[in-house]
Amino acid sequence: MNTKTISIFDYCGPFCTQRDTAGIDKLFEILSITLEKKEKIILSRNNVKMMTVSFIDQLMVPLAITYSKDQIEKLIIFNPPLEEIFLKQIERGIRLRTIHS
Amino acid sequence: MNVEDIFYSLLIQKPLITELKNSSDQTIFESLDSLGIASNVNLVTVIEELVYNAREHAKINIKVYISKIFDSLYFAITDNGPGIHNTIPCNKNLSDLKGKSSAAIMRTSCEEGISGTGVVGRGVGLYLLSEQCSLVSGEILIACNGYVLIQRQSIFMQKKLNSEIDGTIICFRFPI
Repeated sequence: MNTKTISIFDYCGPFCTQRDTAGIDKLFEILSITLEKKEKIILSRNNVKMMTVSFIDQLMVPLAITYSKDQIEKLIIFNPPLEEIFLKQIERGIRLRTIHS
Repeated sequence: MNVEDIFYSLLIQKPLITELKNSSDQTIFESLDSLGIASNVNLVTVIEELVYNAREHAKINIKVYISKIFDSLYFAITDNGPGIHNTIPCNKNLSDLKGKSSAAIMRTSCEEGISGTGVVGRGVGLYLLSEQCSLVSGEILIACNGYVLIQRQSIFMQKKLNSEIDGTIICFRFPI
């Protein structure tokens, strides 16, 4: 299976700091399609200067709820890998949305 | 120098730490990069989440201050928005905050998932700030209306000011 690599910078620029960062919707759409096809994708963080928990929460948590956390961990590979603060937020985001649903 | 010193210096408009020319991502990044801490993802995300909160809820007259003094990073953000005591209760899911004091609302705002937007899953800014404070044995100060909330490591204290302040002031000192 060919693994596609896409650059977060190409869609969202160097500052991925807000839930409504330009390009995040397009990135979300690409990841959704990839997960539907059960294909692996590498998200390159090169040239991204700042990234926040809110950005990762907005991008990844809805995907994790729809496709499962295991699937997104298996199929969406960040390069470099996400730091613990982001991984904790994905778990926290899933938990908070699940409690309140 | 502690967070109370920073706070009072902001109140009298003689800040002890450096005001940035604006609160844009680029300016904040350049400041953190010049201090050699732009790669510290925990610090960056805490700072950016606070700035995002101010942009979203306050919108008015946002000022950011960042300095590194000896082995500590000092940060402050001020705005002339409605204040946390008015914003958090806008969340209809938090109906039990009605009638609570500003100090109680500020303390609650540091808990996980407490958001002024009412959108489920949000509410990370002040929670992360508080969590990071505990983790690194730092100190934070949050002031709005006529109250101040101070956290040192994991201990919270509340103080009443002699007069109300406009908007919100948030300061922190984290060892780096």
